[in-house]
Amino acid sequence: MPAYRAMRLPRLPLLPVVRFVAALCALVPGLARAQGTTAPPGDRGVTTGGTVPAGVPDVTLPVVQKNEGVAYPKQALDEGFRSPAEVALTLTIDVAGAVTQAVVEKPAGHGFDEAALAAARKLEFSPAMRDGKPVAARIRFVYRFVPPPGALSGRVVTLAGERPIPGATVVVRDASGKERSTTTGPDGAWRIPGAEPGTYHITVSASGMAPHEADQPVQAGEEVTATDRLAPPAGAAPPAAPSNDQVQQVEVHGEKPPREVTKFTLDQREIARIPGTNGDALRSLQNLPGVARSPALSGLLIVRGSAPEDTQYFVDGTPVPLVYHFGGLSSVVPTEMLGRIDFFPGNFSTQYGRAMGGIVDVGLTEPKGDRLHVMAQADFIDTRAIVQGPLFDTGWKFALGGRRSWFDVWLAPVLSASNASVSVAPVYYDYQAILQRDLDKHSSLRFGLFGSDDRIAILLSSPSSSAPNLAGVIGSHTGFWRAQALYKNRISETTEVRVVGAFGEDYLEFNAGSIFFHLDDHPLTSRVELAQKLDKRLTLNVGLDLFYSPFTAAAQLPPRPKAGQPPSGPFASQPPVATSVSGAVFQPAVYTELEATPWSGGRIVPGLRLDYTDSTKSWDFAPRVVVRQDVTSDPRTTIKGGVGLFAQPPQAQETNSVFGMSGLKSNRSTHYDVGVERVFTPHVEASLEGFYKQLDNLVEPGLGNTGSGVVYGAETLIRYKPDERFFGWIAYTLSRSLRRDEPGAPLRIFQYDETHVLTVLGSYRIGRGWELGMRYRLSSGYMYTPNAYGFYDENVGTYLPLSAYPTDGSRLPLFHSLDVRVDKSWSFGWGKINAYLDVLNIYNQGNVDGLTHDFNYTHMAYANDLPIIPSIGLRVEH
Amino acid sequence: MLWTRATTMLRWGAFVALAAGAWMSSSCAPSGFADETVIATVRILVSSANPAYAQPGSDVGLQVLAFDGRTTQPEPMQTYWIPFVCEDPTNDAYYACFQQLANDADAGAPSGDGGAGSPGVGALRPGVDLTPFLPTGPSYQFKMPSDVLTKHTPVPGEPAPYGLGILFNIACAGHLELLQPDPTNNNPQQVPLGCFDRSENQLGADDWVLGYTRVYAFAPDSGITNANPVISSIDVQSSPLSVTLQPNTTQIYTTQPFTTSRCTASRRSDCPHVPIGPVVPSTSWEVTQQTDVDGNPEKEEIWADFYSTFGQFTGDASLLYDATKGSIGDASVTDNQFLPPNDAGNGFIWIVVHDNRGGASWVTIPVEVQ
Repeated sequence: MPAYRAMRLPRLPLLPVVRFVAALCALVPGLARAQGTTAPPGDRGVTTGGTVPAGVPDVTLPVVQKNEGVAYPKQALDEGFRSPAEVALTLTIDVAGAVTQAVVEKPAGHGFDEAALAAARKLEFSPAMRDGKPVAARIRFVYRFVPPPGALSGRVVTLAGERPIPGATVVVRDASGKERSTTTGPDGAWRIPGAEPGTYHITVSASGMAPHEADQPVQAGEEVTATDRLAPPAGAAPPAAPSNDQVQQVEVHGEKPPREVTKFTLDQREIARIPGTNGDALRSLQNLPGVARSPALSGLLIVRGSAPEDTQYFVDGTPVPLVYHFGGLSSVVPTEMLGRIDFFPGNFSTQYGRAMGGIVDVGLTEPKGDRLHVMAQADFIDTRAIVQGPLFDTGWKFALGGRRSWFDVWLAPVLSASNASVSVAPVYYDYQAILQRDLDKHSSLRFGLFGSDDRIAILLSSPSSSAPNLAGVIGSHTGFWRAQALYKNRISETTEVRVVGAFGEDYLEFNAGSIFFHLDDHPLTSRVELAQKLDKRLTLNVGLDLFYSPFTAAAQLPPRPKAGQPPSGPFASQPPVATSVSGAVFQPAVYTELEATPWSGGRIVPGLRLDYTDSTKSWDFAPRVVVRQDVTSDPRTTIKGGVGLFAQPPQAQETNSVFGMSGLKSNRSTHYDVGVERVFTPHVEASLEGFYKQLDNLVEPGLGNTGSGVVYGAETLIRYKPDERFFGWIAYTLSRSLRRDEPGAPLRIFQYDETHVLTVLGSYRIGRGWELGMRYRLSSGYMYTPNAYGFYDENVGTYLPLSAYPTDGSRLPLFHSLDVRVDKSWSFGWGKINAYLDVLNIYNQGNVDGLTHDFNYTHMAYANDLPIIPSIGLRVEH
Repeated sequence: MLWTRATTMLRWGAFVALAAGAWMSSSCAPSGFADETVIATVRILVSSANPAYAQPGSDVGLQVLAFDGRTTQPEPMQTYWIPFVCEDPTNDAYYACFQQLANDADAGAPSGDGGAGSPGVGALRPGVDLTPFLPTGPSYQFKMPSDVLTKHTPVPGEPAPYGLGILFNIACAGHLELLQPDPTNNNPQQVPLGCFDRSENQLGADDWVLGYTRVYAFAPDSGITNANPVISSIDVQSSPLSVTLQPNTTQIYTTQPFTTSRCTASRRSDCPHVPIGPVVPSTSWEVTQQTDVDGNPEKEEIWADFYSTFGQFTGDASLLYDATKGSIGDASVTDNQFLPPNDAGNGFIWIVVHDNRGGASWVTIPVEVQ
């Protein structure tokens, strides 16, 4: 058998493009459906010998002198046809023995006929003889096509940093128990050709690493490629160099293409070392393309021009109300307790609903089971500790984590010294507990308890005259907790089930003088997803997504102005309106998704989601589809696209009889994406994506589902994934987000629009435990509404501005900032110590975060963003 | 998600509000901004209705405190009243009155004591001097429309049905004219009036103020009333300064001037800090028509604003009574700090006490800096 690569057929890169476009076009009514083929590597077919037709006395039949054989047609492989086939031809052979005509007797399709005819024309015969003289003859000739074997190949790398592991042993065992083995090359690559169709058990082992085993099905003519990431065995010391890997690992993405158009997954080292984030996992999301710069101390995530409340957050599939503590200082789940972070900026899977912006789904880490691990870390903001390990000899593993802020200890004296009337700082804490056990080889059960709490209570006795209501006893207390159970079972080779259920509480209490808002709800959520492999090319995912939450709420607030209108008076001038309600929110949903790989390198994921919203008594039907197509495989280039409907129910306050209105329906958005990804080397990849979002039925205060808008733009990411020394990326987003409050109202730039967002970051291991990282950010300023001298409210004693109309018509100056981080690690026999200095805005750029006015709006000044802020932290691991 | 989608925004808002409050109250004014407490231009400081809460068809007296703090006064300041009761504007928005005023070509309203029988200004056109048609002076009388309750669109969640009358007054160092509305601008806040000097130059923020006051009306049988806060005395450096009511007005004066020494320090922060503040008895801390989160009757918030023509204050305002906590504390807690000027001379201090239901009182304190 010739080498696989030697027989690769010429690539026709345009064909996948055509198919890709066709697949997209098929989704858009009015555009023609196109058909095409793909061009994966083919293999040589088996050539049949000729058969002799019925002979004639005194006649010698033509005899084959030269036969180059025939390859199993690539088209058949592309079309999923992998069975033996025959093509019978009628050949006309002249007196010289050449084939002058070939006719297919019965077409076989799938490219067999064309392959047979092409091969037949190259046949050479000794001519037929009659009475010793050559004569022309017509014979029947049959080509038999036997499907080629497949091949297994892959790459073995370290889990941390994805460094190649040369010399690793790869053993492949087929269903009969026959084993074949090989070792990896300098780049960690390996390959075993000639794999007959079937399922293979692959064992990868390397010195100093825990072996890894997996089952891998192979189809005829298919080369299956996998990347195996090895970690040191339980209890073993980490690899000698580099030494800065963290004890915990955050899962990196596998080779399976995502169900979404765009999915970003960050490596643990990237998360820990991005300058300006203090090693906070979720704050690192703000450096990805499609994410705008958040207002300082806001904790808001602005994804592709959507409002912050349009993005939903999940912990292992369980929705949580918030992911940041006060002011976005840190995440409610510390990095060390995270196993993965998935971020979908748009066109996400049907497993997610009730949101039309983006999705952030984080997974809690799997506790280590080898021995007891302890980690403690402290910086200026908070201090945290994590303990994890086996739970005696029960087979269970546990992890306990906790964190509490302590900047209130040092901030209060600072505020007092600055003569601020607020001298109390917020306090927050969070906690996580995980108990996990692998029930057998294919199933696991995990219980989790996690929560977060933020509170502040002050007595503000010297209010601003412009907002005297914001005085007196002011308090805010927010938080949540969830008790969660997660069960996963790979029932068979083709069936997998995942069940997650959670119960918990969300609470929000805010009071300032005579106004207050109190909410207490107890969400009960459940998600059941069944993944069934229908055949080698089809996997069906079916899921049930339930959200039920009884609640009580009481609020006394100033009435809300209508959308697009200025406030009807100052905060303190109007009688507040009040409500006290209790009830339950019920939002069930079902979804399905078909993961199809109809041809090599191609992937289509159509899906449907059906949501019911009890508060509006309405159904939302959300069809979505994602298409991916590999154009080239080495290096891999993928074009991708998607289109989908997304619905987001009105918020509870919007349907409340006091603060909202009746008759509302869900906000609606249609996402369109198209893009390309290319993996240049194992460490360098790039992507470019265009997006367009049509927004309809937006709920506008006092108006109803009258709002609309569009968001469009492009984003690109050039990324160098972590190697032994370096990681970094360049992310750039160009976008425009527009809104219209109601038909006939002016189309205005949305308040969260940021035209340009550029992030360049990198981190380099210098050696001897030192690492230096930098992050540079450049982005457009925020939108604002210019104010001018206007009116005087005599009841409150304050001026009111004459505000420009429509709102948000001006933009603040450009933002740019350089953040630097320096790490130093020391390794000891018992563990490791890491110290770091993370400096935000190192050249102290006076970036503008907003505007402030004098008392009568005749003068304005810029309100600056954060100045240079150094943060020092220390981390100890055992 | 439930209300929790609002959580992030609300938390952010609360955090920013707290931060802003802390920052704004930490000094008189941001660097480079004029101090709100220093009266150096044409200013309206407060108006007070008597009674603070009206009833349909009842007579209401308004008093306004305006002062011309300019050092040079090419034309004197005058206080004008728009003789028009803006009745129950859309969404209770003051700017919705502009359209109501423009639409009501015969907007003759009960006149004030300075301009009885004036024709409606709605019939006038841009470019015409309005001042001959407008009532003037610090006080104004009007009758709350008898249908003010029935014309008001009920607000869901309102503690009790109410009606709303909005009155406009203007402090102008010149004369007033209507402005031509810009038909291409849909801004609902378009200002319909301007203040002009003799040369027809439109004057700016130093020379005029367009003010408004809200007067809420409740049904007689609702039992809902509101009294303006009482200022029983003024505390100066822990000593009371007695006050008296000016005859036939609601205006309160101290019986003797506040005397202090001038500041001799070169830096303002090194000047002596003279504690000063109003004494408001707890009887002024009235029960409101609202309830707290536990359903208990809620009480008013009462605060004091401070102004001076001579010297300045370290803070804009002081909270006197919190809605739930009650009295914030004695004078040592609630007094503001007065910083005398570097020069000797005379001036005025005003302390204006507000409640959060539109009630207000003020005291005028002559200042002698020696």
